[in-house]
Amino acid sequence: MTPELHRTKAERISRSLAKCTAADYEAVIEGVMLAGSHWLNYAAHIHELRPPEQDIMHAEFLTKVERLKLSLVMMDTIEALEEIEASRALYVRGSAPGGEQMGARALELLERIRSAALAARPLRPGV
Amino acid sequence: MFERKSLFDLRTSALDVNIAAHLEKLRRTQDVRSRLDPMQDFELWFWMSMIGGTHAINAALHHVGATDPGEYFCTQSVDVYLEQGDAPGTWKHSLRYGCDIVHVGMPKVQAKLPCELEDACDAMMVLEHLRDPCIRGDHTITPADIAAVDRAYVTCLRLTQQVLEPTAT
Repeated sequence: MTPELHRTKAERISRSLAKCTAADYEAVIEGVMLAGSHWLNYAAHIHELRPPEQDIMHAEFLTKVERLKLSLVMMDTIEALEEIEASRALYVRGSAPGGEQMGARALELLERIRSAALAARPLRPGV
Repeated sequence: MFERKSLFDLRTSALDVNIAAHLEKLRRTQDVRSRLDPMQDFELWFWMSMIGGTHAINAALHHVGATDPGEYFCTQSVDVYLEQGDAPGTWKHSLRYGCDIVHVGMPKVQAKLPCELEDACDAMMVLEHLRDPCIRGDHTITPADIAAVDRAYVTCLRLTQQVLEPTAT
């Protein structure tokens, strides 16, 4: 999918997240995961690390080789998404205590992911 | 006087707790869903439908004895769960079979299910098929997509309620 469409979707999801409260932590974590994944793809496409026809579904699904390549440029984003994705088992599918704190943490991580994505630039030297 | 519970009572107790936990998640996601606009907020509205419907299915699966009601939380990797670790407040991964599903069909439930529950799972497959094109792909959302999701979600909840409370319908 094109970087522009990833950005549009990520921003739409963020607008929906604004309708949630801290108590809605399941929705917040899931929305952050979805928006963050779109920002990850946006940045990966802008950096030309991944072509638009090869989207990443989840950071945690990356192979070791793929993760290494992306982490050389986007380590903070990859780690942030891995933390968000790992939290889903405990707080969205499960009922572990601390969901609201994780929801707040997820929103902080999303802001970091968004800022990093908007700073993304093509890496390959021009020919 | 302290009365020791039988193994059956303990299992029944764990079952009730786990079903209640799934139904509470359903209630919470349904509450958020009701505040979202299906067109403007499609992604999150859809996601709440999918998460809530899957919790309803998990509750019904436990109720009919098709899956283990223990406190094992699904990870994104099929058959890998998070459960309480040895120290309080810690969690550890485990490989388990026949517990909660993460999505309908992931993992496939081996037990024979009542017709209503099979039909509820079929309804959720409508959402599963729309998930990638609509949420992660570039499919343009139409009123027909929204109607299909809503119909499938409502069907899933109606059928799982019939399984959980057969006398209520």
